[in-house]
Amino acid sequence: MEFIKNIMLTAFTAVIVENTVFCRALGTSTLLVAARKRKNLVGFGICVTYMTALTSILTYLADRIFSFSENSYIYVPLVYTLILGFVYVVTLLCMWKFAPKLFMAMRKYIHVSAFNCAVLGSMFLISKYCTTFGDYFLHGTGIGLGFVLAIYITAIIYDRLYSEKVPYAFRGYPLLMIYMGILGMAFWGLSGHALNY
Amino acid sequence: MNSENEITFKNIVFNGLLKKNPILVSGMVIAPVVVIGNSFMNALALAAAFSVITFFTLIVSSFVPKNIVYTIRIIMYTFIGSLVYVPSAILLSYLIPDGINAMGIFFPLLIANGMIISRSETIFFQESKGHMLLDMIFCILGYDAAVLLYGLIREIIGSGTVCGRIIGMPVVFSGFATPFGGFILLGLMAALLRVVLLTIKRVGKAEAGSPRGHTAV
Amino acid sequence: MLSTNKTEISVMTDMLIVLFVLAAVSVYYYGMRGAIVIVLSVVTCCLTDVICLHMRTNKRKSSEKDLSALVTGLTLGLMMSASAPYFAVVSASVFAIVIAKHAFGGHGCEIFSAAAAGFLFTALCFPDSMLHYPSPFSKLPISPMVSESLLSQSMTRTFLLTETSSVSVMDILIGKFSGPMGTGFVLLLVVAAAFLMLRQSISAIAFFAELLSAGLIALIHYKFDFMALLYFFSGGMFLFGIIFLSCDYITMPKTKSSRLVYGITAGVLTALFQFYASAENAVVYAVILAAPVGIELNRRSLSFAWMLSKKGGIFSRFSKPIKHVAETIDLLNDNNEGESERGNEQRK
Repeated sequence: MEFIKNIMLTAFTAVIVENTVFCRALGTSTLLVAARKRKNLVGFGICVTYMTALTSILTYLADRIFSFSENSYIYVPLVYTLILGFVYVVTLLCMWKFAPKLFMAMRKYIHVSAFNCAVLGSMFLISKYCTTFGDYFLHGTGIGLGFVLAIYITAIIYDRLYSEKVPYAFRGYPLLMIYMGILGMAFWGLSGHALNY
Repeated sequence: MNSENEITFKNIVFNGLLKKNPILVSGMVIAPVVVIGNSFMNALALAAAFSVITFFTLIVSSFVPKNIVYTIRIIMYTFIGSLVYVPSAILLSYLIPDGINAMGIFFPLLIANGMIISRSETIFFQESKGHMLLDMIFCILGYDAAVLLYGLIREIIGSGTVCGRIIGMPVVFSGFATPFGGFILLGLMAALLRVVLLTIKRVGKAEAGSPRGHTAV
Repeated sequence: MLSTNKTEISVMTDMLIVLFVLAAVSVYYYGMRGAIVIVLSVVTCCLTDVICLHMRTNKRKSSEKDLSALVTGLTLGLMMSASAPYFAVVSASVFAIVIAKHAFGGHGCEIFSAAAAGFLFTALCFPDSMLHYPSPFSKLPISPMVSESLLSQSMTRTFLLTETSSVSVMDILIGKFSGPMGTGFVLLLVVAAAFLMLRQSISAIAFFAELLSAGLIALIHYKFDFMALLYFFSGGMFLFGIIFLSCDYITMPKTKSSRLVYGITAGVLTALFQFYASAENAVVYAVILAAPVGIELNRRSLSFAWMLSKKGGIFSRFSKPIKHVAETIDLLNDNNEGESERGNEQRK
């Protein structure tokens, strides 16, 4: 029981309290692209969560292998890029081989969803703040889910941002920033302090 | 419309710095800006790191052959980025250790920034290299200018200081030093730039066209 | 079910009546300083609104009858501490009107409740001066800043920290405890809620859904201690927030079932902020976070009852869009007066 409670609490923290976008602004640029079409949201979400979950496992292994010395920060990005690239290519090949229809359907947005700042950022974040394997995996998945949640919240009002009634100066991108800022205030209240990054 | 899209030096400068400003109009690489750009010194470190990494990555990326599959290409850009990161990390942590420390994970994340991917995709495959080099430089300069201005404003209204020195601000809105304030200030500045651009357009043209239907992002 | 054709103006008037009563009681409790805060908030809101409308005149005529700035100003003023510094009051009002209202397209297009956003911004910017309150009937100087010695933390904060409170039940009911100016008069707020619901100026469904869902979680959290529940309801501008912030017709979904879901969401979020994050004034955060939910519920395909009603079940009667206010406001937004009149005729 205690175990399940802990898992729930960790997941809740990773998804909502430490939401990647609203609290750490990770992957905001990707979000701008992803929120445009609601239609792709489910596929996009599955893709991002899959990537963060899988890379979190590999990140754990990599962190153990390259036992971090003082200067490790110099070559760590290289290792992580290779991990991300590896997972990405293998996934694409598998999809292309075994589910060509799915591949064709997701072809347009799979690049944005699988290979972006949020996924790479999640690897840096978890390697900095997690210690056990369970932590790595839960936080990795949670960051992915939190990112999807943020995209969904943004996609809800995306049409409204471009409405004729919005003053021209604010239409679109500026208003989106303000919208995220105001929501960020509420998320800030949930965590109650500045998060580390 | 033709004169606006023509490739002249003036247009390139204008586009890079104002009309297609990476931060204030296109919303590229705004994560580090929003989170750590809350003081002028941090903004300076961010601008330096961004310029170095993006410039050299783009230069090297321009030699990536065109006929490789897109999937591999975008991995290669990031890979080149992480290679460029190695010397730049050594250099910058020697020059500005505090700034790099303050950037945390956003420093290594610059290797996968949106500008590298979009610029190298759209630019090097379409037009002549000389122009595009110029375009790239002014795009990076536009980013730097916007970040520095943003950092300065945010430091003044968020902490009441300039470069760490207290100036006599009557009211300090500490909220602007936090990420949510960063979002709001970015939105306000982007809106302000729209107004400025609109005014420039109106002054430039005798008859002011209706601005409706424009979309940025 | 007194009237079926309620216009937006009449909703606003009802709200204003209640807010004026609350403001009068607040002034009685907190004296001159309280009055200045409220007046300053109202004046700043109205002035900013006029300036913003003037700047956007190519879009909208400022002759349009619009009391929303007045309502926002009064609501904001009542949410403040009586000792709030004047610049905080002014910045909250400007933030509410410029950023939360006019940047999103002005009256009728707001995504967030303007008063909630304005209050939250200043509360996060100046937590020390905004979230410390004088006790009622204390002599307050009129100077912009009130010295710390006169102030204490609110009843809600004490209650959150210790789960007990020394305030007696009688004092709770008449609002004689330190807290935001106009949000503690429990008896008065209950009467106000009943009045507004009877006049159909706020949505009863959303009101009760939010009240009951938050209350249920609080009851479980406090292990069925009803005294604690009373403190929960009276503190943290809970009742006030439900009535004036979350039951706003502009940010509320249009069908009954959606309103139910919206209310429950807002209630659960309030409880979450109160018990998980120990946030004072939890309901304000919840209102902000529930706003996108409200918009999403407007999509018919998501309305639960609508899905069931397709088969002609008993749920079909819940899915019809609510007529009167919501529709009127909708039509007003489209600047389509002809449509509105036609709609009224059809209803008659």
